[in-house]
Amino acid sequence: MSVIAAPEMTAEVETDRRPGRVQTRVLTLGIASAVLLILILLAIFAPLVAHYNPDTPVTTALTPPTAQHWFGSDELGRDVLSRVIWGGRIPFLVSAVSVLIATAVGVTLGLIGGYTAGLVGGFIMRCMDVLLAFPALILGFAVIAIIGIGPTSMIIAISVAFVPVFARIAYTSTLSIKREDFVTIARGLGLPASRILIRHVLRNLASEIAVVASSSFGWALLLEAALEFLGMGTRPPTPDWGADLSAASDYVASGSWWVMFGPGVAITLAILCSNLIGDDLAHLLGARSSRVSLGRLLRALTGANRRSASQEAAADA
Amino acid sequence: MPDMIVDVRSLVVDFPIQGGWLRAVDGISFGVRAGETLAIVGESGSGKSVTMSAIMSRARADGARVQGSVLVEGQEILHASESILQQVRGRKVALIPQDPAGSLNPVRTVGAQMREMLTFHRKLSAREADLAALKSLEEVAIPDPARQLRAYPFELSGGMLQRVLIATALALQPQVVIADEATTALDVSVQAQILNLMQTRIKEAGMTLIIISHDLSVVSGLADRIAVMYAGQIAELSAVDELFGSPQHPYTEALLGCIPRLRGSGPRQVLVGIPGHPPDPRGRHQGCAFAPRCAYARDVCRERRPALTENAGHRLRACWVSDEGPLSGFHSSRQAVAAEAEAVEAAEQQRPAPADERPVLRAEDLRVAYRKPSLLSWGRGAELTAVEEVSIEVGHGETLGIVGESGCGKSSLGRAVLRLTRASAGSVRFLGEDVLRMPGPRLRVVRPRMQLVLQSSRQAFDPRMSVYQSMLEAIGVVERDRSARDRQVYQLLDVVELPSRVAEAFPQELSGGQQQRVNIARALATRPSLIVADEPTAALDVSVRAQILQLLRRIQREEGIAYLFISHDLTVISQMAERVAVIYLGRVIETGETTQVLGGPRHPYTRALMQAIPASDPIVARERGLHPIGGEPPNPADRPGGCYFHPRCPFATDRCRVERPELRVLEDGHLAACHYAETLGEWPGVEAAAGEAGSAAGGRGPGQA
Repeated sequence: MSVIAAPEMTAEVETDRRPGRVQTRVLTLGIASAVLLILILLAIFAPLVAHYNPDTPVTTALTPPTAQHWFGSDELGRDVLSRVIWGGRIPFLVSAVSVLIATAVGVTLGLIGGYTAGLVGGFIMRCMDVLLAFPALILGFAVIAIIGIGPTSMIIAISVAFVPVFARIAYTSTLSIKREDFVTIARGLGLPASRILIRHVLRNLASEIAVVASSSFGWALLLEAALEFLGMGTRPPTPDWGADLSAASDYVASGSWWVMFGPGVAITLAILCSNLIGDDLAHLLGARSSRVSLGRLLRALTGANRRSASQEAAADA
Repeated sequence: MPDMIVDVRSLVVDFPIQGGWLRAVDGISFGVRAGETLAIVGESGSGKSVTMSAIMSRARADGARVQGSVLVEGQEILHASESILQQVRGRKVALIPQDPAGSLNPVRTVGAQMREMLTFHRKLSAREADLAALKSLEEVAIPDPARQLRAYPFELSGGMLQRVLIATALALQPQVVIADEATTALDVSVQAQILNLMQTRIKEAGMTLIIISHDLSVVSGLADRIAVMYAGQIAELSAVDELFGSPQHPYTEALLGCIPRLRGSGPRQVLVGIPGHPPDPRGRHQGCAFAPRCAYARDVCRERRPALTENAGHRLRACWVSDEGPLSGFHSSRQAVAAEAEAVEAAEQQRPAPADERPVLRAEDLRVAYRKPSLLSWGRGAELTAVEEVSIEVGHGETLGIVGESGCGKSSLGRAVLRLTRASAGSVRFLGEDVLRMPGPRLRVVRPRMQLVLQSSRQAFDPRMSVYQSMLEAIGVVERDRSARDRQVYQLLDVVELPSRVAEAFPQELSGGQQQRVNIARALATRPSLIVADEPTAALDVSVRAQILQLLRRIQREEGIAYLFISHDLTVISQMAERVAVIYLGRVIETGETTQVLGGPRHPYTRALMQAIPASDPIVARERGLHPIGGEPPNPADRPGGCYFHPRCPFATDRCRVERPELRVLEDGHLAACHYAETLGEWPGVEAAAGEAGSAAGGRGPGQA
């Protein structure tokens, strides 16, 4: 029987807002990535971008912002904008290397711990618990007290602080993934454990790790800035956001707000954007379910339409 | 239609999806008379549950667009206000849902929740409500009802919770009760109990009952009329005997041919299945939705959609073909043809006796125990025995069926013989080699030769790998040559009757049936001698299940692979297995040739299981009635002494309570573990069950029934 649609009914249509929410996420993800990318590119190409040498005085001390010196000058008459541009190099480098090391070590430990479980897994995870019990900053002090200040010490300190985070994520996910049917089937095929771990478990962990890594990058930036602020990082006159902020704090009280403004905004933007990226990725990838892959997100973002093609094949079959 | 208590007219339900609407229910109309039982039957995606939620007026809350009209006692409820709906729900229409545990609040006692319903809907005082709740719990035969009222939902088993919900529905004294897949999640024996309750407490009490189910045989004994749904439309609506006796719609006819019947002593039934799969609801189809899968389809079917109208014999169906006279029984005649072909092939393929005399698999005194973690991690946890002293043997190209209710240890057994779960005692020999004590390198060589097919076809795939990658990985275990691997992917897809395009797809993009085919193809990739199939069809629709079962049989015939076929479904086992082992609480309680065990069951539990299966023929179902065994499926953590089955056994004696019967030989190859296997008294209805099992065997089509 044919149905005559009642026209007044269509007014009640409730729109599904979920796709819209996804679009908002994609938008903030795009903006955050763009801002962060600009900051990173500025730091990398600092010699080309910065107008002045960051280490030498170019004008009178504590000049307010002018057309030549957008962010003014600091207590030694150095151009603040140039120092901000140069000052991103150490934080970005230290954070990126630390997160990479922490990811590699943490995920490996977590995978092994989760897959073997039992005594080995228990031992690894209890060690991680011990590490996790120390605040990252205290851990940083300890490492620096042992090997002295400098970027390498910061990298070691920050990596050590983040290893347990990655180990825990990898451990719990491995515990659940290894109970999945496809791992049982892979074991039934006689595949060696190393292959199952890399091809099946690690691949299904990847998006969760990506989410944690991107927000960890933000936390690493914050930790680096804190260490620098406390004088545990580089030695002056090396430009660095955290160190410059620390130096500038003496002059804010006397009204020279611009000295702090530049590095402060840079740190805030970098950390905010990293955390936004992590947050958006978590929502888009569904970190908890770990069912949507990073690759598929990229494909979705680039508009590649592989999915519908294979669905057609499936429908025809 | 004034005498209709529920009257659905031109109901259309659309759900929003990205970029449009998905039409779940496509203009259906039907009425339910006061006091009658109507069953709405359809496969997944047919719109049966959406129809139900429209009648309960819940579809709109799910964001759906609803058109048409639903009258309950003459009152329009589709566009009614929430306050009117509150009056209708519970008071006029009560629901028995599929998932009883999810329908009750876990932090409040059963009694408190029943009282709330009764005080709200029936305006009873708290005292009266408690009395009414107690009385209705008694009615549904819950043991110790006063105690259950004080229990929290998680303290009760699934079957008990379903009884509580039935009791709640009854206490509300509604005119209409809707049971939405109310027995689907339950074990067979409990399903029989619940069906029995619906028969005696709802139907015979004169209430109107609407049953929604995917399974025709579940409703056959209960329903007065059946509406068969397909792709959001009603394909056929008729009285139950007529529907089973002479189906008027090709889909009904085909569906009846898909139902596996319990096989007693006869030959195996040919299961044709319905080719293809249900249409994608996102797509718009012209003409009859079933036409692409229909053997009778002609041009008019593909062009114009048939309406649900009465034909010359006053039967309601939506089909152009049956306008021109009764169906020729094509689907059943096709079964006969297939049966003949299979018989001829089987005769030709009298496989020479295998060169290897040893059985493919022999497990002896196998025991699987899990340690329950204790609260204090250093303490020794209690042991939970899943499999106990099980000895089984599977010969070349043979199927051994393992059947039992949930928690009986059948899956643990399947995994233990593959050494995927550690066996705590006993031995497993695969072609004579000891699997359990094999060194690692040797195990890696032997493992590919015994494969596993699991129930959840989707979870059996790494979601990050395409079908091609998954297949390649499995083939790579035994095949070193790269180009040969690639070729084999497509060969194997061909074996399981899938087009090569499927290789590009990701598993989550395939239908359940396609996924299970790929699963089987992957299991074949390593050229195994044994496949352990753990509930391979439990998650599939009836029509697809028949296809997969038939596929598994064909592969076995062609490749000579032995199957260890694990299932909770005795009918499926009876159709697939040459020999069968019935498991209860981790022990084999009866085993032998399928014809011996099901033709003349000697253990009360085997009989009880056979009894619990709803007869697929409505006349038989009504004559036989249901004689469910009482009690709950046992808890492996709490084993009774003596014979494990004695608390539920109607024949139990003092001896059964103390002395555990050993599995002993009754006749050649037929073993049972019962003290009284030879002298068991007759049980009401057993002959009828055995009779049906015998007569329903073979390629008897529903058309000739």
